[in-house]
Amino acid sequence: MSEGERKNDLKLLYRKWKEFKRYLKSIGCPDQEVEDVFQEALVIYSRRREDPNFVLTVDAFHYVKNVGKFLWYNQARKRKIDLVFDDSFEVPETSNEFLEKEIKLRNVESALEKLGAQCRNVINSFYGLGMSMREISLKFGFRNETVAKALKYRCLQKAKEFALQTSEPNQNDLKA
Amino acid sequence: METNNTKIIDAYLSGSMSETDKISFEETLKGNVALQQEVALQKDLYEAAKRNVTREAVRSTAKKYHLNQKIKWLTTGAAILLLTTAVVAGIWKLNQEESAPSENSSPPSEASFLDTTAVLINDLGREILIWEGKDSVYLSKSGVLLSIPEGAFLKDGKPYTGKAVIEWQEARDGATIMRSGLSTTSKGELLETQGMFSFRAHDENGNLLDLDPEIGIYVQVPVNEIKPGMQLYQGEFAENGLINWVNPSPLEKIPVPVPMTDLNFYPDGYKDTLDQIKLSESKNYRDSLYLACEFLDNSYNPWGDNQPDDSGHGSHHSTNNPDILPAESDDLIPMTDSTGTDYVMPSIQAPKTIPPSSVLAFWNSKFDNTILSTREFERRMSTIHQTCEKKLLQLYTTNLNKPMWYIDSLAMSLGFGAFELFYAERVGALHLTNPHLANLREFYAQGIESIQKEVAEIRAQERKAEKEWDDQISVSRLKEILRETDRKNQNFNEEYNFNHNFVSQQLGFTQSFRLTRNVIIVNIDREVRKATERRQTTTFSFRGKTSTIQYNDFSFEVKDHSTYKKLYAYLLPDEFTSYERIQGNAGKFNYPLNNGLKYTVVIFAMNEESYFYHETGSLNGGNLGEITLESITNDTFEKRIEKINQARKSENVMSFEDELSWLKLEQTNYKVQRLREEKRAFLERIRQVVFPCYEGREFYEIVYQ
Repeated sequence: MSEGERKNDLKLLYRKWKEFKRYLKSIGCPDQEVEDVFQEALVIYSRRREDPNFVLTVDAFHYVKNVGKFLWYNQARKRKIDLVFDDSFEVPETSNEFLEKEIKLRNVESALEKLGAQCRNVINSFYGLGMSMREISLKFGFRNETVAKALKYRCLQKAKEFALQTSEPNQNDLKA
Repeated sequence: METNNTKIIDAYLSGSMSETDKISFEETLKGNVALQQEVALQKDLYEAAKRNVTREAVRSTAKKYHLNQKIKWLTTGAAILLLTTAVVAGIWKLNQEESAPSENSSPPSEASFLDTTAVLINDLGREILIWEGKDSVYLSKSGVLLSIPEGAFLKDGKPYTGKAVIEWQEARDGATIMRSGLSTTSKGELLETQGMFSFRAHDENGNLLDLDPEIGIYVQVPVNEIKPGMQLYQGEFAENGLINWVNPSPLEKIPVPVPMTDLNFYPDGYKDTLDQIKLSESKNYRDSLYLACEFLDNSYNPWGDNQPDDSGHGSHHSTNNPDILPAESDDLIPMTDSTGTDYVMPSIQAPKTIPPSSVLAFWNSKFDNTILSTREFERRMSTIHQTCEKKLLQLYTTNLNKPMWYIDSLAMSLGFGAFELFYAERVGALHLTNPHLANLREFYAQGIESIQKEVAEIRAQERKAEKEWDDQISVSRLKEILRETDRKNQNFNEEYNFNHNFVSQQLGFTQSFRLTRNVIIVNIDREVRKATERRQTTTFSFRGKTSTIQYNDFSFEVKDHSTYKKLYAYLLPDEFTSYERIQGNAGKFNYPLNNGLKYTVVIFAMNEESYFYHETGSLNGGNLGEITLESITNDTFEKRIEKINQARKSENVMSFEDELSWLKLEQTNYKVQRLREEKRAFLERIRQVVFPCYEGREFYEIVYQ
């Protein structure tokens, strides 16, 4: 899926935000948490679509809705919140292992989000967008690649420390 | 977890490790669970970075979605909202010639106009508005805003000041457009439309009025979505009765100036943070605190005082556009280390900020009625703060006479995508006379300079006062060190003499003997000195006689010692003129006492506001156990010390006055340093709010550790 296609896909799905909100609230998700769940579900959906072996056989919104439901149930279970069940738990074409792994990665991701903007930019650009150190040093105005690279390691080190501090999943699992 | 590991793991995971190193690393990995976990974590971080990029895309989508929703809400709001904040699809000047049908159409005659059945466009309802000859604003039933200023109409080429009857028609949705038989084609090409409008004005006798092209009218149309590239077309009736849309011209929204006092140009979160901690709401106070956050040239100093701020580094975009000021140098920063060796630091390490002085310099009434005193710029300023790019602010402050959409396009050309949405709003210019603009530009530049100068002066004064205080403390401490050395020497000499006399008497030495038996005396002297220094019980023998200098263990512990900022214990031997300060550890004190002397122990503690005290006399050893200090005033403390000194047997006892002065100064210094540190920490906290790209001093120290 190209970047343009992904953006368009997300744009179309976001138009269903109100529908998603109604649905998630109907199964007990508090108002203030719904958008975090929605965005997390969109992240998971978007990442799933990047897998060339993944074939979506249902409507994209149906998929997102079910991922959102999974995330909320998972969250509610951990926080011992009484659940309002609907008919099914199933997230089509997606294993629970994949979703569990995503939740784990969300925690690691929150360590990245604790970094300052400069650090995050460097790490996301290099590991997330696959930019070269040269491109990164040009984009963010580093004097040369060595400076950018030194910063990258230090930021990575800091992120690892943050990740270890928050290694246990908590109620921030879904926080955007 | 070590940085070096991070590099090695990175090389391993990225496949850039040599085959030999890889084999060796994998061998190490096999037997090292902690390393295995570290590798897994680092791998997860790489994946999390990809995830975070996806999240940014989701957030961006969310932002756009909610912005669109907000626009929808605003456009259905009250008239005043529309006037000041709604985003519009178009603004244009109409004149009668442009809006009237062409000769080939079926123009309604002036006479037929008076007949209310005659309309500009068939099958399309109309609204009649009455204009009283002065500045007026109307809102059509569907929310279109018309602003008709005084002098907008001409009659026979002269300004018309009487009443006018205005016919207004609009077709804004597909159904109305089709029902009215309107077309959306331009020379056969299909156009996308966000509305069609017709406007015509008459005097009270039904004569058509012209619009003064110099003044025009302002039409603001609420839309659900701002579509880039929308233009204003003029309708021409073709022979077949269909409208052909011609002469496209760009749309533009006029920014509405509001008083500077009604606007907020602080960075997001600043106001909320100050509100949360219930700080003064006065703008003067908040401006002053905001300004205090500024990194002046040479003032950003995680490594010292010679670090200039970054001043606009960071963009690789270059431009030849004269409206874009050249970026300031991003060269290396010359530094000098403690040995006087010159070296350089890349400027990237200094924080990117929008200097508060450059915001406060325009945030005043002098800039009322410029593009800066508009809600439109207020929103842009919020985004500029987020980018931390000073040059973006410069674009707006140096192009006051330009349309805002043009400046937005300059911002886009510098690579700031966030300005695309602003550009799509097509906000135009506020036309002021050029001399006025030139004055303002100069005033702005001078304003920044004068504010920065003021801040620099205040900081210099603060630094000077701090330095003077620190110097005073340094001198006082130096004097205390000298005093302590003297005191120790005197104390030692007195005790040595005391011990020496004691031993001499016990062993039966006489003055003459000492002079003639030099060797023996020297040996005894040495042993007594050693015993006194070590404070150890020592026995001396000479010609069948023995003598013992005895030292007894002495200890005590101060209860709740950690509640005191400073804790001191003094031993005052009754026989001596001197006294001694003894060192404790975590509130516990151990110090052998000379059995031949009687001591008074004085324990003294203080925190920022109070003194605490305890004394016990007639001691020569033992364990006092846990001692609770009592709170005491300064006067009482001095009196007690005086009393103890008077009770001592020796004459001319060493004064405690200097020691007391020093203790008081230390107490004051503790408070001064605490306040200084609190101020620094507070400023650091606020800086991280007002400068979104500032990572905090700690971060820069980590990077350059």
